[in-house]
Amino acid sequence: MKEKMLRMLGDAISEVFETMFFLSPTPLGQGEIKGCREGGGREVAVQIETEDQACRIVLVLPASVLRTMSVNMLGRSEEGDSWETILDTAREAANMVAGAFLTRLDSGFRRPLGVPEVLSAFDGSSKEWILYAANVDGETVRSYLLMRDAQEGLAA
Amino acid sequence: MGLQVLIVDDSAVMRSVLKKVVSLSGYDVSRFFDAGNGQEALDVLSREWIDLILLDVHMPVMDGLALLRRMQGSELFKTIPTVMVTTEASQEAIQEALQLGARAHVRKPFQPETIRKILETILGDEYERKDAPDVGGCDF
Repeated sequence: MKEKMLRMLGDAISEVFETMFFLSPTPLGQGEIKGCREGGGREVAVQIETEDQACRIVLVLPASVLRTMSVNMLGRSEEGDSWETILDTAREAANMVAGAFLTRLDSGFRRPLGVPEVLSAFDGSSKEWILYAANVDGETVRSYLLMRDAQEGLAA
Repeated sequence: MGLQVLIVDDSAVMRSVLKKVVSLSGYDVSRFFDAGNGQEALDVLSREWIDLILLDVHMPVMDGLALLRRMQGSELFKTIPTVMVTTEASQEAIQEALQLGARAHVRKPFQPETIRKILETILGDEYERKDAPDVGGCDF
């Protein structure tokens, strides 16, 4: 079940990054993931959950990758460079990843999403989280998933 | 005369992207209007002529479905072609939007080509078109 969720989360991230940001994430293997549970440099963590809180996703993005995402999406470096724009890009990326993930679940599990929120701090060390990590532009992008009633959502 | 397009999304980045995609779709756009939520959209609608709306669902203050409900109650607004552009995965919410008068639904992430085709279907040849560039493989 965990493998299936990881695959769906990875597919959702690839779809969003490739379509909207022109970046190709390369999934990290289990051995590589163990070393990246805590990030190194400056990062932005964005949380989004379904309105009923059954599914929660936290996307952790290195600032350098976010800047590239922002510039790629807008096509102009001067507009994509402001911190406000970079945070907006992070929220929109988390929003799209969560939406793309939910569409991969059984249709009965596709709950409405809430509004994405930039977290001031995030601790992803709990074993409850399912972690997907990928290399993007030489940096590690991490996505944490927590899902209630996961079996129901994976019926598809 | 060119189109007057209202883009309703709480993300300024997404509004910029959508402006670019509509601009590349080949239609002559005379002016874009921005709104960060449904209430701001109603304010724009009350003072400007709008030919097309691109509308998100999840927004603070007033969401996209609430805006559609308000538009349905107005003879002036309910016929404005509206395209939902959203991450919404719930089929019920999408169906509700279509029942409330939305003409089409585009799921984010999207290819520019998807939006161009929908605009062609909705607007047809009613509006003036520039020499349409091929947006199939373009950046935003």
